[in-house]
Amino acid sequence: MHSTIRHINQWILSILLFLSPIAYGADLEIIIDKGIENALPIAIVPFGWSQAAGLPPIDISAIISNDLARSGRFAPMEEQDLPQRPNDFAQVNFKDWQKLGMENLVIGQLGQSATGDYVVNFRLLDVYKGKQIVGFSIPSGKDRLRRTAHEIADIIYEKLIGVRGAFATRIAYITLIKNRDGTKKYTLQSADADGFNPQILLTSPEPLLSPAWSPDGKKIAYVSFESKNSTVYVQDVITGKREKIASNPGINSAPAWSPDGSRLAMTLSKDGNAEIYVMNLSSKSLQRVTSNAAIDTEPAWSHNGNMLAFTSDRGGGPQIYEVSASGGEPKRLTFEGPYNARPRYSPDDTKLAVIHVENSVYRIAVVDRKSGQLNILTESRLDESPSFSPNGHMIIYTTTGFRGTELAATSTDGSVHKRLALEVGEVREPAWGPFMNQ
Amino acid sequence: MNFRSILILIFAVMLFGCSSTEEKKEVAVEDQGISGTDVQAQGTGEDTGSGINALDDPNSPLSVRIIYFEYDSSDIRPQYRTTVEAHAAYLAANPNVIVTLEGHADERGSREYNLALGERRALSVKNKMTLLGASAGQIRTVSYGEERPAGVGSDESAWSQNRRVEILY
Amino acid sequence: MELGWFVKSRSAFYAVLLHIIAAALLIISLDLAPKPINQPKQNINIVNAVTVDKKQVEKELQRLKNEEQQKEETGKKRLAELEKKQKEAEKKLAGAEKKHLEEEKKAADAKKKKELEQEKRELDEQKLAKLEKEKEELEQKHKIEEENKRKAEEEEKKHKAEDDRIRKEKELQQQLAAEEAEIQSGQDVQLIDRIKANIYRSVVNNFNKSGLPTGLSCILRVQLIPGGEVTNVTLVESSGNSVFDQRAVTAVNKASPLPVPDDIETFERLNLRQIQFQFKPEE
Repeated sequence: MHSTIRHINQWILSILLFLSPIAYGADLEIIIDKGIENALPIAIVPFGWSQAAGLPPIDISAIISNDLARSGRFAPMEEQDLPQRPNDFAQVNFKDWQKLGMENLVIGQLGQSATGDYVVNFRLLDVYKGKQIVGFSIPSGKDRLRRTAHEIADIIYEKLIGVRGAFATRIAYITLIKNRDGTKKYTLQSADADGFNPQILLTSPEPLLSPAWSPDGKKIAYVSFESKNSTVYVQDVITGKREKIASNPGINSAPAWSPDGSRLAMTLSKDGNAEIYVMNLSSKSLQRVTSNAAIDTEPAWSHNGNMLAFTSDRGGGPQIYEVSASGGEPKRLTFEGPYNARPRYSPDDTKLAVIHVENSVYRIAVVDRKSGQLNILTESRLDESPSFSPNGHMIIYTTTGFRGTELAATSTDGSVHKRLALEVGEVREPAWGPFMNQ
Repeated sequence: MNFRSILILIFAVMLFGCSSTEEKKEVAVEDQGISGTDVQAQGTGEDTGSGINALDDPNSPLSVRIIYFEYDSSDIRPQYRTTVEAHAAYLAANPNVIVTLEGHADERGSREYNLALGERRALSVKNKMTLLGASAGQIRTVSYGEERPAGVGSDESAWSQNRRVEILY
Repeated sequence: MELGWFVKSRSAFYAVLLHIIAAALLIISLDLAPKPINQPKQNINIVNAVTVDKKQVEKELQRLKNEEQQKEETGKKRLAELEKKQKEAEKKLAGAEKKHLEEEKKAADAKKKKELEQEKRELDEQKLAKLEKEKEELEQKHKIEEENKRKAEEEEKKHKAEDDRIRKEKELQQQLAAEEAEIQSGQDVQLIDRIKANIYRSVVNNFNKSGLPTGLSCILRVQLIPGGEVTNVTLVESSGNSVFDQRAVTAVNKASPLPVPDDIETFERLNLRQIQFQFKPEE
């Protein structure tokens, strides 16, 4: 018996030995189970300009380059390092770009017709394949050129990252300017996502806070103290026309739109204590959602419309709870740390961005709704007001340092951080607007 | 920061020692003073109208018009018991007098939560006063959350100045 | 083992065959021989014959020899007696004067006796010679048979030894080849592992998974030329995410030339012209 087994073993061995040369007759197989997480190298060549005389009205390539750099996912090449400056596909020497490790190349031209209209041609090229990934010819106008540049950045982002870019979007925020005479000037503003083209929507000597975009991007709800108490308004972004929504005794604040734009969740303390209510905007009827002696505030509406997340200190300190938008028993979502507040749903509703406190340090964190796992994204001492970009890839927030409060952005995984320098004065409570149809 | 604290202290002494009207104008100029211009103006009108002498007595417990709080708390600390009692007694004795309790918070944490926290601090003082004889109708509450800081800066000395309820006649 | 058994059985077969032949010859020779005293009638039987062995044959021969000797001795005895009688008669003749006739008679008798003796001796000698001859023949035959058998056995042994030698040599050769192959393949396996590790590192360092969703996987087939330059990348199996696939392709292209041995012979032996990559980043 034993010898039989030995024989079989010898037999198998000899077969294996016989087969082994064939074994590496097959393809070598290598599993790449790791990678790097670097900003993508990309070169954006200054766009050609059809008019021989004079300079182009804007530097399109610079706008695209800044957008991509700000996202943290791209490392655009410095302009002085460009090995060549082609405007046409035929002019491109791919080998030159390969030598520099550039993976992608953007070339283009800005043209102006006799009637004064503009047209922007651009091509995104794969340097290693020597092929065009995408190319468009986009009609534009003088006032739209920046936006066209952002739209090109969106297309590049989508082609190379796989998710729609959010550069051609707007943000809203509050600014505070302290005048020399001691008075204060609060403004509600909206601007392009890169901070350009700011538009002042409201100016007040009294505090303004909590701007919230309607889902269609046409209105902004906010809180104003102009009447010596917190009051909720909804204002049309284009016309400036506004409507007083809630001005009850006590708190009227924290507006949050339902995804269909028909209702507004708010915090009111008209019944003696800060509670969450939902108002039907056309009928102005109110429905109370929470009922607890503790503070219930800062509702956020999930993008599927079903849930409201909010801050409550019913457990002792402020923590995040979630309740059905139609009411019911709230469920606690956060358990890490003594303080979690101001939830905002990610566009896919899988996560909530919150303010998370540990050791008296206030940071932006993301909580997984299912697992409850909390991931801290920022590292400053006092970071607040997180707001997701509509593609969910970035979170804009404020960071407070010795220079005051300013805007910053982080990638949702916390790998990239950028300061967004905007104007003078303090900038507060950024709210990233929705995608706008092109 | 200590320098600022001293300034505020000196300022508070001045406030308690002098006639409210003049001093409040100075407060307005100071910008980061105890309260903002508009609210101050409103308070001034009511104060002068009532013409109560006891409120002007710097030695009276009524001269203390600010109650400070611990972090994320709306509990009235023992050292403010006499202050609250004095104001409650004054209101009970003067049922026509109306007071505004203005709740505030420090800059840390979310603005909306702090708005609610400021309100809860004001309500905490109001409840105590009504328990001690003041009528609920005499007491108005408003919260500014962290929007009207008394002390500027991002440190504990500023924050402790900002976690407060102001008693405004 | 099997061979051993086979050889054994074959030699046994030869032995049996030889014995049968020997036994048969013996029986024939016994039949031809003058009938021994009370020789029982032999019932010739092959099966019985098989059992006849060399010892029995020798015993039989011995027995025949003994009988001959006995006969010879008996003849000699008689001769001695006759001689004795003759001598006595001669004595009697010499003792008497008138013994002239007797002497003549004695001479005639002696002559007659001599002739008789001669005759008998001749006969005996003839018989003996014949017997001797037969015996010799039998022995000779036996000897030849023995020799043949020995030769066959020797041949068999030689054959077997040769077979063994060849087999052993073959086994040794196989073993050597296997060992050699093992050493070569062992070296190649090590070499391949090293090459794989180098290529892996090179591609991983160029595979940018920043911003990509997790849990995706794609397979690329990559053609190389000696020196490691990538000449063609084919997407064999898509991840379903074009950006992921594109990043994988870029990683390979950017890593080109891949780190392969400079030696073309090794490059070809290890079949490095085509490599399959599976991109399957962990969380």
